[in-house]
This record gives sequence, C-alpha cells and structure tokens, in this order.
Amino acid sequence: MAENTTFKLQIMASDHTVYDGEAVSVSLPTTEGSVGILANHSNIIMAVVPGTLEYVPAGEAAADMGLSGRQSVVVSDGLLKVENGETMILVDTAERPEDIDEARAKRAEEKAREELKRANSNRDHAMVEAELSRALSRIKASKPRHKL
Amino acid sequence: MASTKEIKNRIKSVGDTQKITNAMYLISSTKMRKARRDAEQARPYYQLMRREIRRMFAVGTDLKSRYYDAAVDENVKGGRSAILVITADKGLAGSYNQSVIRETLALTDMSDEYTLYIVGDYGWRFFRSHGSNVDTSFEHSMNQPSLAMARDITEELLERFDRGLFDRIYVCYTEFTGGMTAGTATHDRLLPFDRDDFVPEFDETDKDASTVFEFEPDIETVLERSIRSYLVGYIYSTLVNSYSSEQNARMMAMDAANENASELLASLELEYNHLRQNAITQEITEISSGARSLKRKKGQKR
Repeated sequence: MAENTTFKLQIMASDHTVYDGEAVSVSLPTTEGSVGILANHSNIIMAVVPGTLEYVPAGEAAADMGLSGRQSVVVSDGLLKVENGETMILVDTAERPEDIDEARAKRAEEKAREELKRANSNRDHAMVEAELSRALSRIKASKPRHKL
Repeated sequence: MASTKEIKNRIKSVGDTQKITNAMYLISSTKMRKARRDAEQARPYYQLMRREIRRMFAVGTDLKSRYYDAAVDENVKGGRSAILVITADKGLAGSYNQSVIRETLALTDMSDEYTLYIVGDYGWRFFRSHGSNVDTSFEHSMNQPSLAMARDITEELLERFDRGLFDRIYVCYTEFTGGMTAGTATHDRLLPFDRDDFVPEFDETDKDASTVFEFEPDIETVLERSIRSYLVGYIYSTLVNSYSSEQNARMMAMDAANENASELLASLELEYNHLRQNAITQEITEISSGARSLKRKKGQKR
C-alpha cells in the first residue's frame, strides 16, 4: 500500500473554523521558525506565533469550500498539534490576507457604532430609569387609596 | 375621594409605564439570545484548548511557572490580589448588580491588599463612591460581550501580572443558571491556575495521557502561550455568563413590573367605573327629585 499523501487538517480560530478536511501540506510560523508539515509527521506539539500560515487543501472538504491551490491565512498566537498523523491548529485569530484591511475597517466601524449606541442607550436608560422611579413613587404614594 | 378625571390620568400614566417596561423586556430577551449564540460559536475552540492544556499538565507533572502552582492555598490573606468585577452598565435588573457587589465585598474583606478592575458602569460608580481601591485606568463598559473585549481585558490584566503587581487574579461574576432564575454571583481564581482543576479529569484509560508527544521548543513555552489564549476564553465565558444573567434579571424585573402594572390598571379601572356609576346614580336622583318637586309645585298652583 502506498503511503498516504494527504492528512487530516483542522484549523480553528477562536470564533470560527477556518478549515476542516484533507490537506497535502501546511506551513506555519512557530517559536522555532517556520515549520512545514506533510503527511505522516511524527507526534508533536508546538507554539504558534503571529505570522502567515499556508496550506494546500485536498479532497472533498476543499471542493465543498471551493478552495484550490495554496491558501494563506494570517494567524495570531496559538498551538499546533500533530497526533497520529492528524494535524490540529488552534489560533486566537485567523484572517485571510485579502480580508484583513476590510476586517480591520469593519471592526473600527463596529467599535464606533457601539460607542455611539452605548452613549445613547445609557442616556435613554437614565431617562427611563428616572421616569420609572417617579412613576413608582407616585404609585406608591397613591396606592392605599386604590385598595378597594 | 379622587375625581374621575384624576383616575383617568393615573390610568394613562400607568399604561405608559407598562409600555416602557414591556419594551425593555423584549430588548433584553433579544440581547440575551444573541450573546448566547455568539458564545456557542466560541465554545469548540476553548474545549479543544482546554483539552490540550490538560494533556500538558498530565505529561509535565513537575512544571513550575508563575501561571500555575502545584499547591496554591485558598487563603486570600497575605497576598496582593487583583479582582475583576463584572457588573452591568445599568440598573433596573433586580438584585443582579447588588449580588455581584456583595460577592466582591466579601472577597475584598478577606484580602490584605487588593485592586479592583471593574467592567460595567454600575459597579464603577458604586466602588468609586464606596472608596474601594479601583484601578481607574481600567475602563470597560458592559456592552455586548465580544472576544475582542475579552482579549483586551486579558492583555491588561496579564501585563500587570507579568510585571509582578499582584500574586493572584480573581474574577467576580454571575453564573447563568438558565430559565427564569437570576443567576448566582460567584468568584473564581483566574491565576495562578490550579493544576488540580485539570488533572482529575484524567484516568488511566484516557488515551490523551498515553500518546507520546515531542514538544517544540519545550512544554513550558507551549503551555504558557496556551494559557494566555485559554484565559481569553475563560474571561469571555464569564462575560457572557454575566451578560446573560443581567438580561435575564432585567427580563424578570420587567416581567414583574408588567404584572404589577396590569394589576394596578385593573384596580384603577374598577375604581373608575365605580365612581362613574356613583356619579350617574347621583345625577339621575337629582334629576328625578327635581322633576318631582316641579310637579308638586304645579299641582299646588292649580
């Protein structure tokens, strides 16, 4: 039987799964420099550092996701594990290079919006709270008379 | 006795109040659903990360680091503690804020030296006016919790921890208990890790413990980096738990307010009808007695 040329690769960011399927190779930045993993790698656990991760997907999962050829993802700190030929990469954040500017701009926009919303909502809330407490004290003051 | 006009006014104002409480109820329920959905998405990553940390603890039984201690005594005294307190931005959430504040005060009473790191405007205002030792450079509002926010908080706390400003980090938050419950205010120690929290999950048959791994560059480095990432996840989960509890507490408070308003409206309506009935009866009596006396006068003339 021929040696496997692909292996199971799972790349997880804290808020989404980047890839889960077969792959031909993956290379990524670690504390020990750039490391490449092919099929049949020995068991290892390494620390991933921020940089660019590249992988070559294969098989059905890649076809399903419409991926072909070399893919690159910008990753942050994390962990790489190869266990019995299966590779798992856990990273805090992972973004495709073409998404980075957009993602950053979007985050900035979201943040600004959030701030604005928060300021408004806190002001509204303070008003509502004052109104409610006024209403409640009025109700309290008049309550004995309402009991029939 | 109040006039019908007065009661009419009161009915209107109670009705308006009920509209507000009802709207707040709906807003809270939407916010809670969204927070829980986000949390679900982050869960698999942190479960996997936890499993790897557990594995490393099981392999490296003699590891020493400031991030984890083989034997950390639960005695808070005699050390400098940082306490991350998660409160709401706003009130009107039943006893939610008060419970967390009480939990925090119990913890500060026990420690010799502490610094509070407060999330949420409500806690911020309370502890500042209460004269507690609050780190004022730490400002986070309790918005929709996000991973980015958890990451910021973790960075800020770890930076101070790494500088040796304190020996322990605690977090006071509210654990979400689901359903129509207010959640439980509680505290956990974030750092140093208690390795025992991880290790007992192993047993001899667990294949995680028996697979042999090579660590590059070494297990300490990998573990330390993993712990940082894991902390982000942990803080995120306390934020989500607290946020869900806050929204739940507000929903309950608003639900009770709605109910009270309905009761009040019912009794006001009753009183209003009663008064109106009385007024009508009185008018009829006046008219009919007036008519009778007129008739009598006419009769006497003839």
